[in-house]
Amino acid sequence: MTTVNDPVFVKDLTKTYYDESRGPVHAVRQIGFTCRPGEIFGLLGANGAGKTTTLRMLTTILKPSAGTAKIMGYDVAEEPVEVRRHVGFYSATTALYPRLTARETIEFFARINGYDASRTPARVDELVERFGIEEYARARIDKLSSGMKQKVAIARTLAHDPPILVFDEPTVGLDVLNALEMQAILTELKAQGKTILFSTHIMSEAEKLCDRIAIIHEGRILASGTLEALRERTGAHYLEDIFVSFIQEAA
Amino acid sequence: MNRATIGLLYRNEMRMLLRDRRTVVLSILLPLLVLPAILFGFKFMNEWRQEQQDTTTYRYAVVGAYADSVRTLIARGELRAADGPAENVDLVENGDPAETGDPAEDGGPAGNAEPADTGDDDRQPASFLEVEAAVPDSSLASGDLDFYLEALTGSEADSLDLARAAADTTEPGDEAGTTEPEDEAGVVVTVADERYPGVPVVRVYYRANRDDSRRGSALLVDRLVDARKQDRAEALRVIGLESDPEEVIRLSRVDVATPEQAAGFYFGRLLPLLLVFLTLTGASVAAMDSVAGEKERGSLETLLTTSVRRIEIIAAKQMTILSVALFITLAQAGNLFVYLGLGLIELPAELDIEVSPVAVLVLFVMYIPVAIVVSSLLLLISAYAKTYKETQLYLLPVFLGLMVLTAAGLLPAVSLRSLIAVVPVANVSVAVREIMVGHYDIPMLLVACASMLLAAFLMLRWSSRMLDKERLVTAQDMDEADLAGGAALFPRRVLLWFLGMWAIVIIAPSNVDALTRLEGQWAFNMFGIFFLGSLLMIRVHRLDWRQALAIRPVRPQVWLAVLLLVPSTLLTGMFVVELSSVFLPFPEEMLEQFASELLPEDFPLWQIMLMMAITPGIVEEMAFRGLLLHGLHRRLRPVVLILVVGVIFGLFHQALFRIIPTTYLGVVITTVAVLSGSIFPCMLLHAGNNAFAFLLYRYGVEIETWPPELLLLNLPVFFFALYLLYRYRTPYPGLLPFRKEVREGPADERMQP
Repeated sequence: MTTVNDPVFVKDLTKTYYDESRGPVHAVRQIGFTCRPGEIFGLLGANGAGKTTTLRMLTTILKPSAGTAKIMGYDVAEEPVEVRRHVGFYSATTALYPRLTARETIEFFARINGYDASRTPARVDELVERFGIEEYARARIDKLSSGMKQKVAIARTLAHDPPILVFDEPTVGLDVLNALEMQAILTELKAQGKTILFSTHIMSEAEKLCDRIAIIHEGRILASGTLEALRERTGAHYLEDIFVSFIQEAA
Repeated sequence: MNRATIGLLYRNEMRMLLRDRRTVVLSILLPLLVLPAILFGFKFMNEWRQEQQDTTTYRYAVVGAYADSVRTLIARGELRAADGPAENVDLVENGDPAETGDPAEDGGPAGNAEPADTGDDDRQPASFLEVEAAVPDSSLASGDLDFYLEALTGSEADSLDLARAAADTTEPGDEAGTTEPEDEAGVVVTVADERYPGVPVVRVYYRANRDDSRRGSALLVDRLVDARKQDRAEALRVIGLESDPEEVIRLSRVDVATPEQAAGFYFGRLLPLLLVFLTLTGASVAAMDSVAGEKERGSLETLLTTSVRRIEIIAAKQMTILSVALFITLAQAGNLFVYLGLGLIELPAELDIEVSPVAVLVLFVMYIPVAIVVSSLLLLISAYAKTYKETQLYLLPVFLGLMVLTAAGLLPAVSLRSLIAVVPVANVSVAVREIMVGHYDIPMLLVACASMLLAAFLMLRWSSRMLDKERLVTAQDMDEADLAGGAALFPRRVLLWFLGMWAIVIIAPSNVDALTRLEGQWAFNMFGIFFLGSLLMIRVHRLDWRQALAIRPVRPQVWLAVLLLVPSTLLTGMFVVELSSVFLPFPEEMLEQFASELLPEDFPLWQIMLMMAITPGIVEEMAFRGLLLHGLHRRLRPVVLILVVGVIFGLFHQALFRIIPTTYLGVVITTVAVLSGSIFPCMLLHAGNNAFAFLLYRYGVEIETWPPELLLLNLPVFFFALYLLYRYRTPYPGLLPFRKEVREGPADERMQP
């Protein structure tokens, strides 16, 4: 049952761009879903389906063209600063500052997200220890390997201890071991009570991690629910078949 | 805005900038070191040149029957040169080229509008050594001689002239005994012009491609001229004429400027160029790193997901770039004070400037708004461009544009007490020149400051808005066109195409001999640049040629409007020219010389019409109202579109004084294109306008002398023609609406706070 008090509440959310060569582009069309406390909610869709645009609207990077979205009760269009204070955003395409050290990075993001200055050093120590980055905590980011950078990036996302975490295709470009570690971290964060909204186009990942899944295609949500519910609706067992079934139905 | 947050962001930005080696070199070290390096360079060069002059002995030979007399003359000239330097009063000598020496060899600053010391050259110490040369031409070619003199007695010279007249194979100039080219490097200089029979002749043979040869020969000629003057005076005295007939009135010029003021005059012209160049170079590195670099790395999106407000990010970035620009300005002001004000380096006379602390302070204050304008402009570009590389491409025209404005200080006779006081950047450039000679025009300095502050405020607002747009993030995603290439990519590439074409149009004529001739340049521009460029754009981007060139039918009323516009655009343009001359006055002679070069008298009318009216009417329209308009019509709203196409059209007309009138013409023709949707009326208007102008020139009709009422009467015709176009418009397909709200899903929506 969806409710406006859920940590993430989305209703009729729409985004239309204007592109010089393509004219109006309807990236997201009247989508709606909610994320409940302490669950992992997956947005599953092919490239260009509208996943990133949706997450960018929820993290207030982009302004919705229409519809409503609330994070912890704060409207993304009306109270964007409050929304961002409660969200940690991680994306495979976002990056760190190459000329800062790992420590400086975590500290900087904690401070600009309003984390108490006196508690920041302890928070940095805690994250450095949690992600095992003590050895290279004082090395510049541009000297780190991609696996190390990934850990620093997650630590940066958690720096201000937000209740809601948004992961946009977090395993894109990672090797198998790093991808598995990322999945383990997501599970651990869920266990800590964080609400996690994450997008992916990798079926096995969604199947393994998500409590509930929304299938998004050409800016529209075709179906959402638990894996079991989606199986029941389509009669297919594997998520891949379920996904294809909904796409074909929409076509 | 939270000041603590801005402080946090600013410190972070500065920390990252200072950790970038490139930024440190270009934004800190270079500005700190360039001025002292230039000053040391001048000092070193001056000392080196002086040493060279003091130690060089010029080797020469004298040949011919009149050689002994010439040797005596040289000895007397040398004796007088040893008397010492002249006072700071210059005699105006006759126009004999040899007597004034070679200005390029003067010790004074190049381009001196008020030459102070031409008379000094003939007193400069120099050491000459006569050597034997059996074949002086060979010795000169091999370098054994720096120059040689051929001395002919009067009868020898008479015989030679007669022989030449009989052979009639020489050029007219040779008969008068002026100059004659010997080969690509050597030049014959004769001391006499109109020679009377029986007068001896001395020819000095030297090689212009060798410094010692040029300088030594010029110095020796000076001594000969001096000795000749003495002989002349003596001859006149003998017959009872005590005074020189050439000096019935003694002419002299007295330079009452102090050496420091004269030096300031030259240095003040260079200083703005140096300062703007350094600010652009240093701040652009910081701007590119701070915005375009962040976009490319993806760290900007990370920053945007934090709980800081957009306006705080913008403020921190503005402050960062501004800090760099201000540091560069401060460094230059400090350098000026330390090296010139305190005289830390002993400088040659041409750079020995008095710079008071007040002057340094005024200069610094004047440059603060320049730093704001430059930093905002750089941020704007950096925010607009998708990538680091794209930013670099956009920076080039901005660099050129700002340097052109800064070059206003080089324009002769332009003072701050004119409309230039309100032209941003150019006004500071002129102001700096005046300050450097100690002239403080306080009211006009305040006007210039106010104009700069207004420009700075507008630029700040503009760049803030650009940084506040969603495009800052979404532009990274819209890569479909990049991947697909072809027609979809053309709107993004069209300006680069025209930038390339513009660079070729500007650079090629001064580097290719064939293009110095009118026909060569015309053929190259029309067919090599505009026609071939248009075809290439169509081919590379796989454009539909009918759409790209706006090949569309036209309503009959449009033709009537264009026929009315042909004369009325030209006449209305006269107002624009008059108006522009208030800002940028150009000497009448320069305009007439340009017109005579563009429209040579010996060209038949049909050829002029073909070259200057019909071909540009077709080919330039293909490029500007065809491809350029097609490429930009979905990127810019109609009014901006018309202005941008007009300005780019104007910029292609190279000469500074042509830019404003041709921009005006470009704006009118683009308006026709936008309202009619077709290229054909544009071609008629362009060709008709050019033909009308050339006919008026050819037949000596001077519109400037017409009564102003007559020109005013033209305005109703002009506006009626525009009304006709609007009334029977068939607008250019796919134009953006005039107002933003009408468009669905705006691309440049502002970000969340």
